[in-house]
Amino acid sequence: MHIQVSSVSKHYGKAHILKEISCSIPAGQITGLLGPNGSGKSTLMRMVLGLGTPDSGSILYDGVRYSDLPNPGAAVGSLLDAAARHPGRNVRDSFSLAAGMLGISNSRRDEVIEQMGLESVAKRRFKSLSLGMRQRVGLGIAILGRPRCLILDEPVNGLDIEAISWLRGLLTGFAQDGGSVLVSSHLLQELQSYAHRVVIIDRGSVATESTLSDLSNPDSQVSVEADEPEKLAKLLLAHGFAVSDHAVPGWLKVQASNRQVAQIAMEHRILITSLGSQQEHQLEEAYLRLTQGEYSVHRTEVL
Amino acid sequence: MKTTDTPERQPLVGSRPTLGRLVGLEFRKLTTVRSGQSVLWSMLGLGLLLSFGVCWVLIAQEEAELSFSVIMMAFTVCAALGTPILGILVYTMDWQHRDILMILALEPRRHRVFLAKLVTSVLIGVALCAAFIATGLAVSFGLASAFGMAWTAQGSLEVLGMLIVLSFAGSLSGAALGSALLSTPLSVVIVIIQVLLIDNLLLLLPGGIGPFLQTASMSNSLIGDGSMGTALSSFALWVLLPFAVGFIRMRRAEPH
Repeated sequence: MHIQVSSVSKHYGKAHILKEISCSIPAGQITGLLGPNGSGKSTLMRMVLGLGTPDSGSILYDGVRYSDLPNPGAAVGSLLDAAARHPGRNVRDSFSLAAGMLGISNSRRDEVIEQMGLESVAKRRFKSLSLGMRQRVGLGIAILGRPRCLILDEPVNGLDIEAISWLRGLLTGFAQDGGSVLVSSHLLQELQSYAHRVVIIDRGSVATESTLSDLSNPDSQVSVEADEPEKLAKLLLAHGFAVSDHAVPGWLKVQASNRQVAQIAMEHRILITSLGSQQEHQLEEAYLRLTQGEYSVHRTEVL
Repeated sequence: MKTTDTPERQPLVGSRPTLGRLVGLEFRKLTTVRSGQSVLWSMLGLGLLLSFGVCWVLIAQEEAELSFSVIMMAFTVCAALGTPILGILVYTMDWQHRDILMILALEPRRHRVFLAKLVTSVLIGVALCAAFIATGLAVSFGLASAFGMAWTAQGSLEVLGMLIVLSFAGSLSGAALGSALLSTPLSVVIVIIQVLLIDNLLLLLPGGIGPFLQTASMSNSLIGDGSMGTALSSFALWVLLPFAVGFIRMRRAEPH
């Protein structure tokens, strides 16, 4: 299911939260939504789920509005805020409520409770759960109807390592099976480990929408460790790439892509023992370059 | 946590929730949280306490008869106190605790969610009347036989009418206020102030317009203590108007 956001604008009073936002969430891919605090990510996600009405523009699922989908709750699984649940209701009843709305059997409810590792807390009230457990409840409810789209706002918040790994596997498998995923996160490295593409928004506008590889700076540095670093350095220089010394002896810093370095080394039968692209830093650099927002943290000493 | 299971791409269901399913879920929501359970158990507990108290007074006065209507009067008092709170909870609980984020994502047709809550408020009145009548019958028969008193149904129709009117008026006016305010504490405080203070102050208004504005006029006229004009005016002011405001808010409000 392809989600198309077209020229969506939203005002709250005098505040212009979303300004002509256009982006797409294609089927079979995980789209990361990035942006500083207050940039409009959560507002956009609420609009995508029909919880708010845009002042102008449209959001369509395969050409259909969310509210006009045959059974929106079953087609689109969502987690916007793990804490947004009645604190006095127990876990099983929270699942039952969602299952009841979706018309799903108790056996599927119990299956998801087990899948999420929540059996031991199923009778506990929501307020007594840790943040990670609350997040699991929200994720479980999101996948209850076996949806075709997942809209998740900060899904890894509070999750432990095992649960993060599980979520990564779930989202990757989900996209491979043709599902669409929109996931917002502040953890760039985490997002980088599973997202195919990113939409970065800043002050209510799309700063960029691209695949992760396109976002990487082609002229950025890679770190290389080779058996014959001097020989490799000369070859790279001869090919027009800038080479500089690395802080670690035996390593080089090269202004080239991993592929370009590997190809030259292979052609001259030089063994590369380590080749580190700095993609995570590149995404961070791109993010910081694109989002000099009004709420950005000023890098002065505050302590 | 199972790490291998990823959801299959075929959604499990294809139909939206029916109104009946939504109403069932509203009842379920009310009875699976402590606030709803507390109000229900408090109403029942208070009803039983008052029943036993009345019975004790009758025994002390060496009365030979125990009237069903006397016992039902105790439950009518409970219904008058508790139904507005239940009506408020039906409309405000989801917004107060932000369950509304999930509910409106699963069922974006907000008018149906609103309608389901309205039907639930009416059914609460029906359910409570039935439960109180059944409990009142059991208690009155039980106490009469335990203490060797004769059971009588004299005057019961009048009291049952009062129970039905107060239950419906209470749950509807509470629901209406809750739908307009979408806040449990604010709605409960206003209901209390309205009953204890505002209704009495309105009687001080010149020209006899007080009864037209009182909440109590709605039920008073139906139990033979007021005019139909004041009842309709009160109904419009305390039920129709807040429901209209609530409907508009439900359609437009954006949950956060």
